Amino acid sequence: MTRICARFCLLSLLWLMTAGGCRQSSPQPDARVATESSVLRIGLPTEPAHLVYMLRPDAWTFRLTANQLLEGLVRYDPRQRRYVGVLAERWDWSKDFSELTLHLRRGVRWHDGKLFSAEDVRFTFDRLYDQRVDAASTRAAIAPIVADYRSVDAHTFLIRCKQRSSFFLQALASLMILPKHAMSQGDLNRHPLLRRPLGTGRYRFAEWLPGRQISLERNERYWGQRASIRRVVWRIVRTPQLALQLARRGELDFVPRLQPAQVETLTGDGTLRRAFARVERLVPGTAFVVINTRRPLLARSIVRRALAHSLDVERIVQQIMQGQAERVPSLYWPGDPDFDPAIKPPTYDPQLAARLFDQAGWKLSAGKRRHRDQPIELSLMVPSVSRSALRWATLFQQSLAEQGIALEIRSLEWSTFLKRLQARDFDLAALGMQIAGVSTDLYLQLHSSQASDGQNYAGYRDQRVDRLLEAIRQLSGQQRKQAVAKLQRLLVEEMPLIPLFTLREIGALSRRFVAPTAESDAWYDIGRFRLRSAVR
Amino acid sequence: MIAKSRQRLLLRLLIRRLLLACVSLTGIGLLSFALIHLTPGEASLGADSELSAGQIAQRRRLYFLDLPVFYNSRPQGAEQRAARVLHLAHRETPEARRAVSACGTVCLPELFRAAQRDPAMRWALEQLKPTDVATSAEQWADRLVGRLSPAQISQSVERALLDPQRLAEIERLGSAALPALIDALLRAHGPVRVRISQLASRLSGFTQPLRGDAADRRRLANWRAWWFQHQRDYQRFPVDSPWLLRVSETRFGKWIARLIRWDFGFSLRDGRPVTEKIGQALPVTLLLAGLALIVAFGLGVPLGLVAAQREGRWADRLLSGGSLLLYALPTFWVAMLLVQLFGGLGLLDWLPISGLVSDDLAATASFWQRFLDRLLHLILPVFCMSYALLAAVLRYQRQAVLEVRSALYVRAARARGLSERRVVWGHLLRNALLPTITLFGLYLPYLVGGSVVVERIFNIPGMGLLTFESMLARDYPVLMGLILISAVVVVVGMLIADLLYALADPRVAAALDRQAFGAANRRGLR
Repeated sequence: MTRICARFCLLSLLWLMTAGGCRQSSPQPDARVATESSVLRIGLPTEPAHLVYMLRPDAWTFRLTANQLLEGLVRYDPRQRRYVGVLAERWDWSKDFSELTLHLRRGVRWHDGKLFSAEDVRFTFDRLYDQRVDAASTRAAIAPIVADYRSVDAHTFLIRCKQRSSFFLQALASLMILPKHAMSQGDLNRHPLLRRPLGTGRYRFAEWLPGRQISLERNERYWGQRASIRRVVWRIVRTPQLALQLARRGELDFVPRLQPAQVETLTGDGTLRRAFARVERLVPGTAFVVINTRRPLLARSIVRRALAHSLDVERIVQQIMQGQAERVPSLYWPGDPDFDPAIKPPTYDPQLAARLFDQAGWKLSAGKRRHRDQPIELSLMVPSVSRSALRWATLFQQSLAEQGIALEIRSLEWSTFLKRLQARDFDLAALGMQIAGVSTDLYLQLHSSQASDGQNYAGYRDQRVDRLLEAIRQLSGQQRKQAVAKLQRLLVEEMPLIPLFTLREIGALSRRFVAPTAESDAWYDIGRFRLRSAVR
Repeated sequence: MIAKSRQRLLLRLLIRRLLLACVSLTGIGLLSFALIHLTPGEASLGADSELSAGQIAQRRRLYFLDLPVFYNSRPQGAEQRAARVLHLAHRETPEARRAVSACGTVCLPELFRAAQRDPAMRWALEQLKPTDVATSAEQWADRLVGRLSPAQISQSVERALLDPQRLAEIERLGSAALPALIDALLRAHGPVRVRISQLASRLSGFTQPLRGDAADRRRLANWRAWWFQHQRDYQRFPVDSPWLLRVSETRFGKWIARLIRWDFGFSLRDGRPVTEKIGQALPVTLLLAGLALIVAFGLGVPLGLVAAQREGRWADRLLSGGSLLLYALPTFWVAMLLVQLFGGLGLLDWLPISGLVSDDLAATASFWQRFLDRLLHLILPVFCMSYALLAAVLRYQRQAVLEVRSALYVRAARARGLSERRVVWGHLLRNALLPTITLFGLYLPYLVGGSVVVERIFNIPGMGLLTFESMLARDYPVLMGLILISAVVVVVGMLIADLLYALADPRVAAALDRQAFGAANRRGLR
């Protein structure tokens, strides 16, 4: 009896060793292939929930799929610095900018061979508007602008806008079109094709080994220029340390994001330096400190300016971020088409800050600043997931202590952090803003209509800022640039938020590959990577 | 062989323990559910900071997070949905139009009342009225509202089931007929079922009608899952609702209702069934932790015996000192060090450092190739998971053997002239194994819990990693599934440990039995 048991245990272990946990989901073509070099293996730090960005707006899902696997109607071309058509060949605005007619590309085929048409676009919009579909944040970007839409014929799609919006194309660029013929049946929230999407892009979905990797294969029947790399494998590597070790062993070709300490390893380690080149890009968006202007202590701009002058952002960028960040003067990031480099960020100047505090009536006595005989105590809320935020918060705490102000740092778990942010229960909070696209729209962050229950966590109300924000949403070209510059100056003066930096993502790319010089708005355009030998 | 009376004793012990296990599992389920759901903070459903309050409410509804945890004093069904539509319908916008048509006749009673009060709302009735109805929208609505009581609807559906020709009449009733219709769909068979599903599909947003082919089983399961999630939108709960409804319309009620059908629900993070996620992670951890346990106990027990037998000599010193050293090394540090060491420094890169299988291993590889590949991948993680435990087992075993060695019965056995082998295996080791068995029972949950540290560092998608990631994302359904499975294994582990005890020591069986049965049974047993 015991012997049988033991034998059974051994057998099941043997089975586990060969089969369990490594179920081959589909027969791979001879994987130890001769043309191994035309496979690009990228490290993916987290496993995405699925691959349809509309339902799960997460940065890595977007990078993996957008305009590679699934395609949108338009996209931003950083080289031409304008929006270009993808599935829409061209588009016309009506005279009053209320109607957008999209002329769709003809002859585009889905990866299963079916023809793409305006019905697919309509289906995607229908699903976006369907309240039962779990796509609230994508809906929030598009629904407030669009009044109505319809397909005119098989290759024309018409969108009627509620008002003129200069951010509409940007919002449209993040909407990837879904195939009606394959996804109209069943509950979209749990559709099987979410995890093996059917698209029109340069790459088609090949396989997903849960917990291990996601592979894409070149779409040989792509409507545009075919990709150069035959197969792209996204290997799920959860720790950055392991990612770099795997790169050194030759098991990864591209590690998109290195830790600050690893950048040194990349330049110092001979094996790595020979095999890998450094690539970098700015991450669209900014990190900043929100000041709760509803707190009586923080309601005056002079106090907020004094706080900004006590924070040594340059040191944060150099020492804590170790060069993986770039300082910004306002919430506009340097890659924004309207960014004005002439505007300078507030300098670190403790003496000026002390003078401003004095002027504001925060008097220094016995090493402590007091306001109406009350000692001043502020708190800074930091999400616990961000280790760098905790480090610069400590720096801020020290500088304020020198000014005689006590700053308490509260490191909170993300959901609690969010809850307090929404309840406006904080003095200062460390926050970041990521943009899906390139242009910054601060309407949600600063407009007074968003102050009570929207994202204007600073609770800032200023009619001048409101007017500018509204104008920026409607203007274009030089006029808009001027309005943005005016807004930036006003923000430096009023300081409802202390701007910190834009993240610079440094990665390691195998020298066997060449990345295009200009990156796409979303991320590196994997479809345009090529082998070095192919370039020669 | 075990004597008959002892076999009976063991069996009774087993049954008692199983009954106790059921009670503890229920308790564990209730307690962990309460703990998970009552802790402050909430599941982060994506990038929440970008969502408005209304959108967050929408998403919470989708995952039942808007329901109370244990007791719902006022279960709300279709009325709530109608109220939302009514709120929108005050402005005749495209969103309002879409919301009204998506809701269908479910919101008709409320809309009708609103339209009588406020003529501006009449457009919504027009929106719902079928085009082939000749009368005005108000007359149509007036007539229909009278026929929308649950009793009348189910009567019409019953009649239509007997006479399929009348199925089309139900279409006139619209989405309000869905509860009765789905009920009929799950009961009916054959072509009638297909027709009902087509009708239900037209009336609801869920378009996956049955087709009368082999794939219908799956489609029916999808219908059931869809209905489980959306029935609130179509059912009207009476205000003085029965007691059961107050318990079932809660997060716990929904969870239990699913659990009874061995359905752990769906992950909040990626919408995949929890059973599928656990099913993928469990074999990985079973293998890893199973091997680690085998290595630790398989080596620890004999080495402990050796150390005790050679007490004070160099072998003992080496083993005891070595085990102390191993025990003191933190796992995460050793694992990181190994990854660095084997990570392509040139000397030692023959052992893989990531995952459990080579990514470029061909599908055509033979059994032994795959076996070897798997073995190489297992060496480092299994080492990391087992060395500290091995050290502990070794020390426990050594101490136990030392204690037993000086016992009278061992000396007596030696005095009887038994061979050393029989003394060691029959008397010494069997008695000295008891503390190790306790340790084994304690470590069994390791088999399903896995090790977060090792799995994360070596990039192995096992249970430890799944638990860690679900905890960070507050993925309640997955966490509950994981807790329940761990609880089952802990209970089973205790049971196995008890049985092993009883096997190793007859006195323990009797004592455990007395403990479990109480005085009355003890008398009966004798």
